[in-house]
Amino acid sequence: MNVFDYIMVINIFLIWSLLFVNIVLIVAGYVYYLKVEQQKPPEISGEYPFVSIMVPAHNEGVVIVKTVAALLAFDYPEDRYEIIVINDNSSDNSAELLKEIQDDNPGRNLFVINTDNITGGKGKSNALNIGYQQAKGEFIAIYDADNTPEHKALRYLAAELKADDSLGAVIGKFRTRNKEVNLLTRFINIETLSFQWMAQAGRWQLMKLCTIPGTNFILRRTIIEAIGGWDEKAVAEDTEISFRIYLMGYKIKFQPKAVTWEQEPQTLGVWFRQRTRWVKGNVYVLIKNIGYLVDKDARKIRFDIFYFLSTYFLLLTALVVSDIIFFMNMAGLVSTSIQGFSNLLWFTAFVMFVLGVFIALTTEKGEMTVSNFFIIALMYFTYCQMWIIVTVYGVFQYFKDRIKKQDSKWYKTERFQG
Amino acid sequence: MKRCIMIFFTLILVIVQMPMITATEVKNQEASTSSPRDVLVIYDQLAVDTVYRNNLSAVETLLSALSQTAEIVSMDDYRGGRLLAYQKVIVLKNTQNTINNPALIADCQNYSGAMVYIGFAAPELVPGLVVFPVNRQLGRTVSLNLNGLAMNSIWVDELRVIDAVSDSGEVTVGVGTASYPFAKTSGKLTYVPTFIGDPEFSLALGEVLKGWFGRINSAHMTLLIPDIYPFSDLNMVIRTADTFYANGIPFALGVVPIDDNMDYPAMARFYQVLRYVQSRNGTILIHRPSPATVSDSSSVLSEKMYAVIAKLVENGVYPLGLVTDDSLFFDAVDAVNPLNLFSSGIILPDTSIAAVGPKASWALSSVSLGVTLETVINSSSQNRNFGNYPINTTIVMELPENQEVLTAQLNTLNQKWLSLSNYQQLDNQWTIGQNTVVSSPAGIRVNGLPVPLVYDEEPISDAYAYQKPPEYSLEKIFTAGNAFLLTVVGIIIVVFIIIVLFSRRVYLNKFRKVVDQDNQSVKEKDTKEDKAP
Repeated sequence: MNVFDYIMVINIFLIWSLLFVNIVLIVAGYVYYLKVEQQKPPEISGEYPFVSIMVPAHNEGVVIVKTVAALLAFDYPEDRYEIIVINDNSSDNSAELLKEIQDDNPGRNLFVINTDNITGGKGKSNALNIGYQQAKGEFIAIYDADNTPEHKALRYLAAELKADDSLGAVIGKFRTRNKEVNLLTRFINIETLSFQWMAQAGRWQLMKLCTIPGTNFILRRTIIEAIGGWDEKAVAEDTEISFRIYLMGYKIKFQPKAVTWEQEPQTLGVWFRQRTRWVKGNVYVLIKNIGYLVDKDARKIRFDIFYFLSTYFLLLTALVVSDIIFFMNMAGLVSTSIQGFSNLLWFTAFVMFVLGVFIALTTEKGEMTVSNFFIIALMYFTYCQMWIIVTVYGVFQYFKDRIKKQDSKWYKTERFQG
Repeated sequence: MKRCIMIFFTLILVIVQMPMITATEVKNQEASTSSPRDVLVIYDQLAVDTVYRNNLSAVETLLSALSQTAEIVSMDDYRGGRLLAYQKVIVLKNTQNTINNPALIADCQNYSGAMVYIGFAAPELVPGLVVFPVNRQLGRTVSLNLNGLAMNSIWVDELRVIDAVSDSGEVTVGVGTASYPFAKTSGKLTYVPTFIGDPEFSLALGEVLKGWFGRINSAHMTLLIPDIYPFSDLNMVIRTADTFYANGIPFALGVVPIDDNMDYPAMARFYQVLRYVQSRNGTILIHRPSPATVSDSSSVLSEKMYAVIAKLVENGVYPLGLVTDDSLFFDAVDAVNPLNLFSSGIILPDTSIAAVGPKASWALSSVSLGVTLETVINSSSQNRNFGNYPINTTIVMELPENQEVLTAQLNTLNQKWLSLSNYQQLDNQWTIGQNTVVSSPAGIRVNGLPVPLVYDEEPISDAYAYQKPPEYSLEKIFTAGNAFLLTVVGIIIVVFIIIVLFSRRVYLNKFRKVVDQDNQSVKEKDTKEDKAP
């Protein structure tokens, strides 16, 4: 055996180990789904907590009206929540549109904070910190500007958080509003559903762990006070704040009945830029918190750090390195002598992947279809490979920024009409 | 101080460059300063746009076919004094252009050795040419008569003949009823006024040169079927061998060396066929691997050739000579090892134009000039028996495509009453690696021991593994791991399928379907979730 054989053995071990971790999460996620189905929707007992809903918005004129309208329509007492839209250095007509909504809804707790390029325009975390200064709620809810939450979403989130003091935050489910637009949005629809039912529901079921998704979640004001606001260097502020919450000893619960619909990228370019930001942000958070992997007081987040580490470094490295060795072997540049696994095993692993993802789709209305089954199979060869590329690129960009000592630039996801 | 440093470095540079400069010059002059060959060939131009374009190549081939080593140099490249190192010189004048090399003119005028002058006369170069009265005729159909053979109907645009009576036994050029000597000798100067590098003129010149070199031995004629591969039509090879054997026609097979997969059953069957051919008076000869298709270094090529020949001998196949084009003889001897270790060979007909630049050749002891069957057909004999061309020749005949072609070729050979020699019974010898193979009229001897050429069929296993399975590391672990993972994944798939089937029931309960009796419309009743906005 030579050095490449050893590398291949390690890669094979890593890939299969992580595959089995995700199999366990799929089953756990489905168990949680069945459990939730048998439970009644959470109800608020006693006085409704006052909730500050913050909506950071940068040039969101295309979608902001619909979003604010949905927030105003929440099935929640009007005097028990406020909406704070942080119109963050927008150059479009967002300010005018928001003013019109305010004028049309007198008496509602709808506040608009317009920032300029001095106070704002520095990313989502900065916008949230600005909004937070004005927030009066004991609970803080965050929605992205392209969201259309369902009427009861806020009620469910607040009810869960009020009912359990061990919870630091509660996250809802997000669905793809524009999934019918093209194949890419169909891929994203399947990806988001499987991610939520596998990674979020599965981890909650097994370890009471979830990662805040960046929108449609609620958390305690005391947590924000304790951590001193959002980390403005973090472009993945959701992951960052999740780690902070864990470290404070709180749990983050997944409540799939609190649903919001959001618009996903409709073009490859937008998708690529958005996902590159996610990768860079998550790598930042991972490196910032990597020390907790060996900190005995941080036992709770160890799995999450390991999960991120495995996704962004171990699995990625294993896939890329094994692919490189495979092609170098084909080209005769290196030689490996390990036997490897049979094609039958690889095929059954592929079938397992398709079935595993399909299980997540059976939880949602209209998704348990034959066409989705084949789209999942297609995703394996296309979308999953695109993810490898974007992850490699994102990790490379992150380290490039670090070497050049540049702060990661916030890329705002472009919105589409409709 | 700076100046001293500059001078120092300049000196260093000059000293470093010296061996390189010297080496380059030595290489350029190598051909002209190395030990003389048998003959020096001086040509004026290749004349590529004329009918004389193949003349130099034809002369080179003839010299190789006569086992003569030669140094070839153009008149422009000629350096004074070189000619004087030779006892035999051939001057090839393909054009009427004036000669501008004073050193050459001076050396030619002082030259006292034997000279064959071919082509356009240049008395300013060779004053002795004035004694030959030349008769120039345009557009003539001529015949060449040599050694009792006549090669007819040869078209010549510009015929130059020596207006003299030909002596008995000389090669003659027949024009209508007139007959002229093809070449004439005066003192040490032989003049060939017309030469066109085609097979007929080459044979005529071959007779002249043969006498000039004093080679008095009789020539022989053999038959070659070239380019036989393991994937040639081996059934046709066998059928041809049987046919020729039945008709008493000895022949040779030119086998293309294959250095890969020599253990394959296909190769075993190929060796079997070659053994069968040997038993049918067939001789096995080895083709020179094409330099154009072999990119390996000469040392690697040499290793491969050793392996190929050793494998042939191991399988009872005894190659007795080489099949090559003339360019082989102009490669360095050590670069063509072990091909140069054969004592005999056949030069294939080659119509390519000779390469320019000074060059020198080596030679095999016994060589035969390849001629096409058409050349033989166009030759008529004064006797019932065809006889022989003046120099050793080999009729090169492609492997027949089918029985009809084979029959036609056989008829041609029979009708010509050819006297074909058996290559196996000629004197051939080589020592390559551990093997020494000698052939003579007494038969073939390998390492001193006679070898029977009887054919005995050996069964070849069909169960041969064409590609041996590679050896893997951790084979047991991976085999066990593969079985384990297959089991685990199989169980997971079964569990997943159960979950999917179960979830379908859950799905239908949750999003109940109401199907009307005609199954024409389907309505979905959603009682639990909001619809997408």
